[in-house]
Amino acid sequence: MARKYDAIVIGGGHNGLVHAAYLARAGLDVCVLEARPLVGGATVTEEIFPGFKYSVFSYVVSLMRPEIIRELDLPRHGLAILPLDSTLTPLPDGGRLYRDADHHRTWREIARFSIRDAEAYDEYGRSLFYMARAVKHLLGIAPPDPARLRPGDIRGLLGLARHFLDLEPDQLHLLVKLMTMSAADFVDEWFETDVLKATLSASGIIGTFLGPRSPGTAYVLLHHYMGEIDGHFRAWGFARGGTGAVANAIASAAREAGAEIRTDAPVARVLVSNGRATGVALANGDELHASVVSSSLDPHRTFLDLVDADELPGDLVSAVRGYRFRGSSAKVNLALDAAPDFTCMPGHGPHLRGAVSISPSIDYLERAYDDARYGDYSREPYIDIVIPSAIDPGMAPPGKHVMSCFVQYAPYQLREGTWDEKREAFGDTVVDTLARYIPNLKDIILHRQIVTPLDIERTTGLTQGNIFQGELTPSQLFFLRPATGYAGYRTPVRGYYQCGSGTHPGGGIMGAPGKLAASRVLADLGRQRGRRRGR
Amino acid sequence: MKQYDAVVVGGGHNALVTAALLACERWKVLVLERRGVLGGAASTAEILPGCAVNVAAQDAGLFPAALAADLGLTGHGLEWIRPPALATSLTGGGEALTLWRDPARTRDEIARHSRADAARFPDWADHLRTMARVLRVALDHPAPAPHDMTPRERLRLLRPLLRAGRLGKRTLVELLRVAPLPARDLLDDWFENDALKGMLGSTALAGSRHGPSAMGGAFRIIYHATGGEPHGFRSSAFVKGGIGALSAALAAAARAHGAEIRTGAEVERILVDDGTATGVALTGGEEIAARRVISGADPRRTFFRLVGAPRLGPEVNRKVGNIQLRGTTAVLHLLLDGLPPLPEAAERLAGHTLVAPTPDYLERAADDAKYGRCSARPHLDMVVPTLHDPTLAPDGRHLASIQIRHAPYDLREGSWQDDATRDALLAGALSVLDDFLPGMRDRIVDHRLITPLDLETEPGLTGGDEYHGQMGLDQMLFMRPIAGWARYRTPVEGLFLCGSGCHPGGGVTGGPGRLAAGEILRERKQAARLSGRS
Repeated sequence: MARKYDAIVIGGGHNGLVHAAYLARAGLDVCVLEARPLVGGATVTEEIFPGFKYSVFSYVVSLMRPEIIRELDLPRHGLAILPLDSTLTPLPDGGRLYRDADHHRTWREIARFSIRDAEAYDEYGRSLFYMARAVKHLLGIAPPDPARLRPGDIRGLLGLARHFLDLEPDQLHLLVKLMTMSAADFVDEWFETDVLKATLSASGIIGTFLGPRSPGTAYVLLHHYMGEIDGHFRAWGFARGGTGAVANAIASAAREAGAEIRTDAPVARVLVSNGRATGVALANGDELHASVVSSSLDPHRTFLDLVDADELPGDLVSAVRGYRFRGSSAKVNLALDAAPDFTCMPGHGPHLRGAVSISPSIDYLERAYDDARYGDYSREPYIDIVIPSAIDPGMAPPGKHVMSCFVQYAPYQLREGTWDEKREAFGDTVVDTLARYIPNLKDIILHRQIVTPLDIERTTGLTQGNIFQGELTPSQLFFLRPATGYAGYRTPVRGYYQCGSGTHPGGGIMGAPGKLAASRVLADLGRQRGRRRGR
Repeated sequence: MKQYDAVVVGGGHNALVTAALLACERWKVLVLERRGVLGGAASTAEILPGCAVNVAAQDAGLFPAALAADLGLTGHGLEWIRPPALATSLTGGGEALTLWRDPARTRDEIARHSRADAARFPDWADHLRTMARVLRVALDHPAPAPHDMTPRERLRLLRPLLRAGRLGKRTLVELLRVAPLPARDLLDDWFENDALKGMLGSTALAGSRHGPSAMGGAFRIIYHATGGEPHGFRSSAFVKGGIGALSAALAAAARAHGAEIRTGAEVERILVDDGTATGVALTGGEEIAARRVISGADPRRTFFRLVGAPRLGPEVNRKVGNIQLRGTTAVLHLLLDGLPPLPEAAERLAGHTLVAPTPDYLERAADDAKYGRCSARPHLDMVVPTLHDPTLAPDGRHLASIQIRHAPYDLREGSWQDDATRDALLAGALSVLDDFLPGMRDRIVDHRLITPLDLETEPGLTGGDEYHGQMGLDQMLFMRPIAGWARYRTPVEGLFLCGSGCHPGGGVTGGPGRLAAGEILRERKQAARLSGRS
């Protein structure tokens, strides 16, 4: 006998779990189906090498919506976020730019390059803070659909217009610039120091297949500025126990609310009858039934793999086929016998507890992009490093370290060869690049895990290894995400919903898509949120 | 001292449009052009002996027929030429792909390269036309002023909104989706053939330093298709006698309504008294008083050179300094003793002739410019005006005017004043021509190279940017020329802008000139109403 639930959530990534938690709290009988043996999707901690815990994919937290942390009471479920508030940018000549939470020290550091820039730095931070606050409003609302203009859409659009027209003119203009400019041009309006410009604009290229000089990247920069920890914008943090701790806390909250979470349960397809979702069929042939099925997978899997194209309108199918993934990043996780020793800041200083960014100049980043544009990985890649064990000693055996390196560009589609052939050579490139700044690195590597875009796709199911479930470019944001007319978390199949990062407001460990989609489901079910369980 | 209602600084085509439209309203207008010829970047001059050469701009396809009719330009000698070939792309080895004005002929031509693309092309042409029609609405009206939403402003938005609304909600949303796309992504969605994609994508390079993978390219493809009825490519049209004949017709129309036009009269500065423009001072000391000063020069030249940075607040200075003026185009003019040996040359070379064989080719050409170098293998856009008007060159010879991209104004190494730099650019362009039009080189009798620096000194384009500011989405609508000053007014009372640096942007469109005149007239009426009331 097939078991019948109120709702089935496909995929146990952080959005699927958030979605399930909210549905369960509203009294629904929910089941989460995760293909892998552990929950989290790209938000996992795994002990790949004995004693060393890798945040295999996603490695920092900051975008997680504070209201979700509050409402699901995640700290009680074990979530502890440790601050990560310095950034070190080493230079090839042994120089460096080091910014941390100490305002005066950062001022002096930047002033070594340019006093003008040191003066502008605060103003820049304030402006982005205001921008993030202005845009934050969007993270909490479901996008209205200007292509349909039902009464709710009109209300939504008018509300948006009012929201933005209430901004000061200068802020509104700044926002338009952020939506349209390149990250390099945007920071160029503020600063003159190349390394400062480079390391700031590096946030604008993360997860996209665009260079820092390409228009549109300024938005990604802002997207990464919307992080908020305890009310501080742009506060990056590291979850104690690795990124997987975030997923585990949400899973625990969901279970407490009554959700069932099944691992090792890959879904083969969504069962549809008469244009209505009725449940799912697992890869092992089992069928589970529910009147609500929500997919937290990316749009490609949600629409092209899990349901029959015949069930969907042609415009949606062609829009999803044209939806751009283009994975552009990889991870290299290292187990180290000792602490890495940076030429520019020798020893075991506080910089090890912050981020380290290999982004010495705009040209450097741009050249890295050039390589990728012609189908090769960057010969000298942009690398964003954190050393989790320096922040949370539990991540590695005493005295030893784990080092998490986010690497870009690593294009999913290589012009020559396959990622399986090039994996090790790519790893060498990354280590060689790092060794230029960390001379002792090669001697202390005990183990390295190379996660190519192909590996990301294979392991987590993210199409083309795109970490955001689709590029965060203006053509794929807000009411265009994932497709015009299909941005409201519903799908053309009744009872079938989308709740992953491929929907508004997009990727990062934010949880907002999962929560907004849950509101949509509950509104459709005509239930009051928070209604007690048991009818 | 003689007092004018308006003195217009510069005699470019937009300035002439503004002057003519104000003169039609019986304003006493004086146009001051520094050079001996009118037209600015849209001028025709004898820069090769015995030839009438279109120095910078070649194509007038974006100039609206309605504006030409309003000003009676045909009565002043304007004659349009719309050749049967829109463009021919040289794909190497003497091969060519031509887009024709006749859709059936285009389809047959594309089918030789790809049947699938040939089948899709009519839909693409429709799509482009639809998108261009929506964009047209934005270009035909003053930019919205979201920072100033007084009831009067809201009312002004109503008309364009209704007009756009009639085109359909879905179409509007589709433009929002498509415009920011990279040219490459847009074309990949439609076509498979690289030659076709390179050709169509090349339009995205005009007005920007970026290559086809950069976002916003689709916007430029649509922008360049907003004149007349495009057939899947940019709207292109030429003018009999050269592009300068358009400027001459505009000048004649302005004069017919009583405007005065002085050439060889260089404005040295704009006179400002207590924050209000009162007139201009010419080199040589002559001062001319006017109630309004209207500058057709680019915004940076207007503010920094003619007004003077100290007269502007630090905020305005910063914004003007940040306008992206990034000339990347050099123009090579060749005098030929015959047409290049291409089959059906006379027919195929009558539109634009492009060296843009693949998207990757364009990509690499733009890569060099990112690092402040001239492209080793540049993208070329050639026009042979003598095919439409043999009188432009003597003795049955031909002129070929070739826009070379990318040749960045701000070179990281070397200078445009060095012969070596110019020679290298010339050699690069000629070697590309050799590869794509074998035999062309042997036909060259004489040549003249116009570098981005020349474009800055001669027509006076800051940074050699022929669009008076890059045509990116961040410098459009109410962000053009600078945020908050998009309605042709400036922080200086009585000083207006009317050049390509303003909404709707660059190209030979007459749009900024027309809209500026409308705003200036409106402001005058408002002022009259206010003073009548007090």
